[in-house]
Amino acid sequence: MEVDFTGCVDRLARAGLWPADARSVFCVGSLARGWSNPNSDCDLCVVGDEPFDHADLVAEPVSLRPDFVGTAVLHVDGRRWEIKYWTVSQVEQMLAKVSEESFSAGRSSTLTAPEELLLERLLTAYPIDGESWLVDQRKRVEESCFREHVVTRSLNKADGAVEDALGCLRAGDLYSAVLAAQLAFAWMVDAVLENAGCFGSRTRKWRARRMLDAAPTALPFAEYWAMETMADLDRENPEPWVRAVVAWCKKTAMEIDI
Amino acid sequence: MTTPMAPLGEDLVPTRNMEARTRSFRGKFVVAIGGQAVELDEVGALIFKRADGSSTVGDIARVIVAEYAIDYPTALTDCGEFINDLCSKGLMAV
Repeated sequence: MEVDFTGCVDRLARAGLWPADARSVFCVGSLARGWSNPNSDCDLCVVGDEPFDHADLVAEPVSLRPDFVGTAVLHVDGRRWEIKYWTVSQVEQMLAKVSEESFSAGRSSTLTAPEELLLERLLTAYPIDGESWLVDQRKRVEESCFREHVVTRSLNKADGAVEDALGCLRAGDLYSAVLAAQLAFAWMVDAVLENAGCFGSRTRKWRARRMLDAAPTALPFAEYWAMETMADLDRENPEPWVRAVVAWCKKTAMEIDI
Repeated sequence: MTTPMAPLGEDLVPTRNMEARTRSFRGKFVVAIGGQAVELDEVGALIFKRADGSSTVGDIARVIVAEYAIDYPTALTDCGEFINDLCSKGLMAV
């Protein structure tokens, strides 16, 4: 770990950013996954029993009760710390959205971006305090239908983008067809990675890192990188590239067993 | 491309409709287009997946012969009927 979290709780407490009822605090994101660089934020999550109230918090909307997650920013040793404050109840609600019962009944609710980020980050979080709580929640995410939930979402998005790309080709709108094919490819790669248990589709800059980590047999890295960087695109005649991407997306969708 | 209803020749090349959505979900393989969904059995899924615009009906029938130990004429007839059915649903074309 690039950051020393010794005294982290005391530091948060001195800044008035440590809730008295906190169950756990953990580091998430690029630092926790070992992908950080010198400019990376240090992303922390604090989970408490009640909503944390502090004048410096910025509220971000979520589809839960309470319907916001507060974020504070602190600068420590030249690095920006971003701290999100969740409640135990909000975590319970998110897990209910991706439960086996909800998924098999077709009642899975949409996870907002902050919610999906939290659930997937629980799996790779670095514990700072309250590790047993984190370990319990991690197990619950692993046993839930979170994987099925996000894979289905990504496949649906990829299908929609494929249909857009083909529609644009029919209309002769080649520029839009290329951009739609890019989107389709991105969502399909995310589906492949999610199906392999490598999450993080909400932070797309890390897709190549995820590909290197997961090394899915469905898509060798060299082939992935060529399509990601549009290496075979002929700008004067982009239709073959669009059709090749569409064909790859459709073929890959058939091989993903949810 | 046409949507045939007559028996298919073994040299014809079927192609999946690229706008058809597929899901392989807990052992079930479903193909959908325009609000219509069809669940395919194992052989149906094999035929659909092989209909990539490069394999002939005969090629696909020979894969079925190898996988399921049935005779070629039967595989060819079954394969042709199945492809005809999917063509009529807009899921495939030859």
